[in-house]
Parts: sequence; C-alpha cells; structure tokens
Amino acid sequence: MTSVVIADDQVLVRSGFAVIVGSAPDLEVVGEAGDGHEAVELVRATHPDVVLMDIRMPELDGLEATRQIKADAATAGTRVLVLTTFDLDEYVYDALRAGASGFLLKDTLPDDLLAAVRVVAAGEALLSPRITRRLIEEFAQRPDPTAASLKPVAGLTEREAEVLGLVAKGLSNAEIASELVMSPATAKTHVSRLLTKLDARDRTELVIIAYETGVAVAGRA
Amino acid sequence: MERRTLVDRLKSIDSRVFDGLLTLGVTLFGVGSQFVDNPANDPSLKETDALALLLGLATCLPLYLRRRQPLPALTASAVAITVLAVSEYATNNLPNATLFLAYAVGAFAPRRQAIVGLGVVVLAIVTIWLSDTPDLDTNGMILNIALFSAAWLAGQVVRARSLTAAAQLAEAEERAEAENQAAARAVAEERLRIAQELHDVVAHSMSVIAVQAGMGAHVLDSQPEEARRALENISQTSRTTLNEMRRLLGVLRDEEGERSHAPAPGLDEVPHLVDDVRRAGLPVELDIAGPSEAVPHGVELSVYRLVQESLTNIIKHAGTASATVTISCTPVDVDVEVVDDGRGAAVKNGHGGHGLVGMRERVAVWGGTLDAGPRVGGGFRIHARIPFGDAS
Repeated sequence: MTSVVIADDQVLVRSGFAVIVGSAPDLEVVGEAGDGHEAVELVRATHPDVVLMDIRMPELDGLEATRQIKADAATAGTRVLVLTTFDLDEYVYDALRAGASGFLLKDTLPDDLLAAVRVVAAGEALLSPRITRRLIEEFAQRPDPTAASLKPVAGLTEREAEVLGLVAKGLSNAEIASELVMSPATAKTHVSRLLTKLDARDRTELVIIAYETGVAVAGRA
Repeated sequence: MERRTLVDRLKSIDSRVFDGLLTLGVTLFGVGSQFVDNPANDPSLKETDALALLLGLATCLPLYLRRRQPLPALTASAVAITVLAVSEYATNNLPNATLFLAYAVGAFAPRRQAIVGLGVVVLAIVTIWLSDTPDLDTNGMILNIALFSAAWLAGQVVRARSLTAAAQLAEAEERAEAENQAAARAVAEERLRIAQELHDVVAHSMSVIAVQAGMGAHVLDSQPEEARRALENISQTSRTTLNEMRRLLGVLRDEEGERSHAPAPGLDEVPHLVDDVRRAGLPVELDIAGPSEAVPHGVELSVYRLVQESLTNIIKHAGTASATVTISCTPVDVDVEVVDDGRGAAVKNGHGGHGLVGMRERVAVWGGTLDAGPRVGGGFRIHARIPFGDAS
C-alpha cells in the first residue's frame, strides 16, 4: 500500500485529489496539509511514500518545504511530486533542483495523476519528455566554463557522455538503446553508472546536470 | 515646433494687411505733404524735387517691415529723413513714419536691438539739430526726443505685457500636460492591478474546477456522493469567480466608457459585495454602523478591499462556514471585523498568506492596525482599525 500526503492551500483542490487518490486500491491518503509548515510536519510524522506538493502556498511555500524534506535524512526517502498551475515556472524548476522527482499540472487527468504517483513511488523520476525538458531548458543556468562546474562531467567516458546527452533529450532507456545501437541492459547500466558518477538522485537531476554543464544545450532539438 | 494653426495664418495675413494699409496711409500723408507744402512756408528751405521725393519715400516705405525687421526699417527711415533735413528740404509730415517705427522697434525688436534703435533715433534728431536747419530748433529737438522716446517706451510696455501673457500660457499648458500624464499613469496602474487580480482569480478557480471535475468523473460510479459534491463545488466556484470577474470588469468598463472619476468602490458598495458572496453560497451577516460621511475615499476603498479579500479567503479555505462582517464608523476612524466559523485556518501565526500581506499593507498606509488569527471556537477572525482623524 503506497502512502500519500497531499499539500495544497486550496481546500477544494486538496479534497479533490484526496478523493482521486483514495479511490485507487493500491494508494492511501495518510494526511492533508494546507501550507508548507503543515506539510513538513506531516511528512515527519507519517513518513509517506509520496507527497503531492503544491508549489505556491502561504506561510512556507512548496519549494522550501521540498528542500526541508529532502535535506532531512529522516524524511529524504519521501518522493515529492510538485503540483503547479503553470508549466513554465521557475519555482518548479527550483523544486526539481531541490530534489522533487517531477511535477504535475493541477488539471492533469485523474488516471495520469495516479500513474505519476505510482511511478515516483517506485523510485523512477517523472520526466515527461516534452514539458519537463522545456522547463529545464528554460531555467537551467548557462553553462559556466569554469572548472568547478565541468568537473563532474570530465570523469565520464565518451559513451557515458553520449548517454547523458540522450537522457537530457528525454529518451527512455529503451530509446537510448536503439539510438546508440546497444542492448537495453547496457543502456540501463550506463544510466546507473551516470547516477553514481554524477552523484545524482534520479534521471531528473541527470537532465539538470546535463544542461548546467553544457552537455545538453537549450534549443537543440 | 507646432504647426501654425489656421488662426495663426489668418492673424499673419491680418497683420500684413494692416502694415500695408498703415504704410500706405503714412506714405500718402507724408509724401503728400511734400507736394502740398511746396514751396515750404519757410523760404530758406528748398523746393521739393525728385531727390526730396525719393528721400520721402525712403522715409515712409520701410514702415511696411515694422514687424519683421523693425531695426533695419527704423534705421533706413531715420537715415533718409536725416539726409532730407540736413539737405535743407522740408520734412513736413514725414517724421510720422519714423515715429511709428520708433514704436515698432520698442514693441517688436529684441531688447538689444530696441536699445540700439532708440540710439539711432536720438542720433538722427541730434544730427538734424546740429545741421542748423531751420526745420528743427533746440526746443524742437528736445520735444522730438521726448516724443520719440515716448513712442519707443509705449512699444516696450506693450511688448512686456504680451511676453508675460505668452509665458503664462506656456506654463499653464505644461501643467495641464503633466496632470494628464499623471492621470493616465494612474489609470494604467489601476488597470494593470485589475488585470493581475483577474489573472489570479481565474487561474485559481480554474484549477479548483479542473480538479473537482476530474475527481467527479473519476468516481462517478464508485462514489456517487463524492461526484455530487464535486458538482456542487464546481457550481459554487464558477459562480463566485464570475461574480469576481464581473466586479473587476465592471470597473474596467467604467473607465473606458466615461470620464474616469476613480470608480473605486466604497462603503456603499459593501452590501452589494456581500450579496454577491451570499449568492455564491456563503451565508454572511452584515452590520454597518456609524456616520460614514467623514470617511475619506481612500479609507473606504481599503475597507472594501479588506472585506472583499477576507470573504474570498473564507470561500476558498473555510469549507462550509458562515461569516459575519461588522463595520463601525466614528468621526476619527473605521473599525472592520470579519469572522467566520469554518474549519479553515490557512494562516498560522498571522503573518503569512498573500492576501493578508496585502491587507496589512493597505492598513499600514493609513497608520492603522490589523489583527488576524484563529478564533477560540474555530474559524478565523480579521480585525482592522483605520484612523483618519484630523492631523494635528
């Protein structure tokens, strides 16, 4: 049974999501929060698998709450799924950098919402290629040619750098495998090595690193 | 550089016609007198001949340029009549032309040129006197200097007056322009604010409607009761939003339709606001007491916005609830209280919340106070006091 906490400052949005999530046999709502403070406290108390986190809330916003949850060892295991009204939103991007596993538009269809919760609960990153990539493209810092930011990527093999570039384009492991003419298992291994070498939480962070170090460049299809 | 208006063009034709007629008249008068008094009364003066006529014309004709080139015209005229007099011809009525030109130099020439012009005239008179012509004796010289100076001074006075008038007009136009710009800027800022409010309202409510609609459809069969509640929520939310939009857009239309006389809502519009909220599904009790005439417009607007923001928050966060709005006016301040008994306390320690920050700012501008916090029995209370007494 996957446990979920829902945080949103609007009652009707909160309760709406609660009914949707509660209607799934494999999901259970263990708490609702109306602002960032309540969200953090609730996560500390209930250690849910997933938090649906509205980004703009009073008191403490979703971004800061995400930071706190991910920074605390006791709660870092909880996956954060950010909710937003607008897809191109700098706050959302910052939340991804802070450790959110992905984001959803609030008007996402219920079935898609449930699928997303299951995906991040399983430890995968939610990386809808088109939207998430656009977000990262939009807000990733321009690659700084100084040593510090290039260092992580310097230790990659050529193959690994290629794979990183494709991950940044939003390709799945299977797609990467076919693109680079390798077996899916090999692609998966490369991605795992990338996660280790670059000290990344998940695929999302790989994409961010790719843009910030210039391996991937905004605008190139 | 402004385009010359039709009036300006007519005026310039007007002045040219006037100058032309004046010149004509003075020339006829002046040169005519050269014929009539011929030979002159004084036998020691020469008879009018071709040269005299020429000089006579040269004295009078420059008058036509009195506006455009007053100093050159005066100089030409003064030289001509000096030569005429020194050559022992009779001057008769010819000096009138030079007299007119003395006025013209005072009225139309810039300062320095005007002073030079006066000097030219005095020089001419003195030269004629020095030449010992019987046409001008010492008394005559003094008289003429006085006369020509008077004409010159008259010109200066007229000039000073018209300059002041022109300067004042320019200043008044500048001020009016600045006021127009300030007003336009205020209107633009208000419209921007309204647009932002509209945007926030629509974005929030559409999110709610999307979630509730999605939820309702999702559990229509498995949890029909929830689906029903979803529909009711959608109904209430969309109604409230439409009302809010009507209010905001109503303000916009006023500004476009008529002279903008600050269509800011005040205490009179609060009952209307409360009615809209009731129709959106939230029961509200309203109590307004005390004399409201002394309350400044700005304070009224702040009170209205405070009530509006509070009620909106209650609808958004407090679930099922009812609210009470109490407004009391005294000659020195307004007391506003909005309480609800719903289950929402979206704000913990009374500081956060975008709406609350805005409320605090509105109240702080007037040096007022705002308390916001949960009530003991449940629900939330917002209380503000806005003073406006005479600053002493």
